[in-house]
Amino acid sequence: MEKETNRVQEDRLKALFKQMPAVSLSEGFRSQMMQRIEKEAVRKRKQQAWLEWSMLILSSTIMIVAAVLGLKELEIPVIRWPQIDTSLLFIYTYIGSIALFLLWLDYRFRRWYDKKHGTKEK
Amino acid sequence: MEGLSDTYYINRILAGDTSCFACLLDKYSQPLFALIFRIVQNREDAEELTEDVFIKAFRQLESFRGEGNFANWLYRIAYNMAISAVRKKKMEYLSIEDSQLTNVSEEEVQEALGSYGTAQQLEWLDRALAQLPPDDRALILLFYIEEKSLDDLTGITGLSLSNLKVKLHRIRKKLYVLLTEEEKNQDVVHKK
Repeated sequence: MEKETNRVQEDRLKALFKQMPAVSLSEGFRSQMMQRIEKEAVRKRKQQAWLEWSMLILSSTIMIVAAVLGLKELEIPVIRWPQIDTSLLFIYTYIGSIALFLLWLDYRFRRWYDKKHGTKEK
Repeated sequence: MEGLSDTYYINRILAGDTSCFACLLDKYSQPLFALIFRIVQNREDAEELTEDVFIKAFRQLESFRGEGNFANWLYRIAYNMAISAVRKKKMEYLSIEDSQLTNVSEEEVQEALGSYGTAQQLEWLDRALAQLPPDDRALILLFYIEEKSLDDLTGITGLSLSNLKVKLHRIRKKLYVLLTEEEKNQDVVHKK
């Protein structure tokens, strides 16, 4: 009986609180909030990418340092480079520069062609 | 997308589909704002805090991991943020002596609190709530307006079940004391 009375009183109190006037958010809240969420998502992605790159650089540095120290510890004999014959250096440079010039020409021509015919995807 | 579970939306958001956050916003922004507004009692602050609650939830979504209830997790963030915001303002609240509370019987409280209901009495209730410390106010609002169960409340507030029951009991008595004071003040004004 006492429990039942308590329950009824409890319901009345609940009802009283329910009668309190409702308050609503301003109209622009949702869009403003979503804009902030989008910005936050971009910031989160950038932070994640930065973290990944940092980890990559750090782990690479550690590996390189470990490799150098390891090689030093193993006392591997110094590499002796073979003597290069420099008499043919001029002809190699000549052929190399012609190849580079032709590659550059090909690149310019392709750009010009794409611009003229609009074949390049935007 | 309506009608799907919170876990579904959370998994989508974690997979990179941030637009799904709008569904969680639609579901929880209004009740959270109402709660925060009644705790901080300022519209601008409440809106700003509601935004901050959602931003914090978005940032910490990975830590949720689908364990427990998402609504309670969100309410816990809101509860903690709203209370700290009010505490930062260092407002003074009416302290009610323990002796005042022990002199009040539970029957008196039940009878009196249950009988309020008119617009005038709702105004008194509003004023009485404003005089409660923020954590007490948050607790009673979560219990009566948000209709959170005691189990949910332990998760939200971090209080033990027995501590929570004692606290709720004391808050109800405090409310009774404050409401009777309001009533007396009203009578004095009428007599004048």
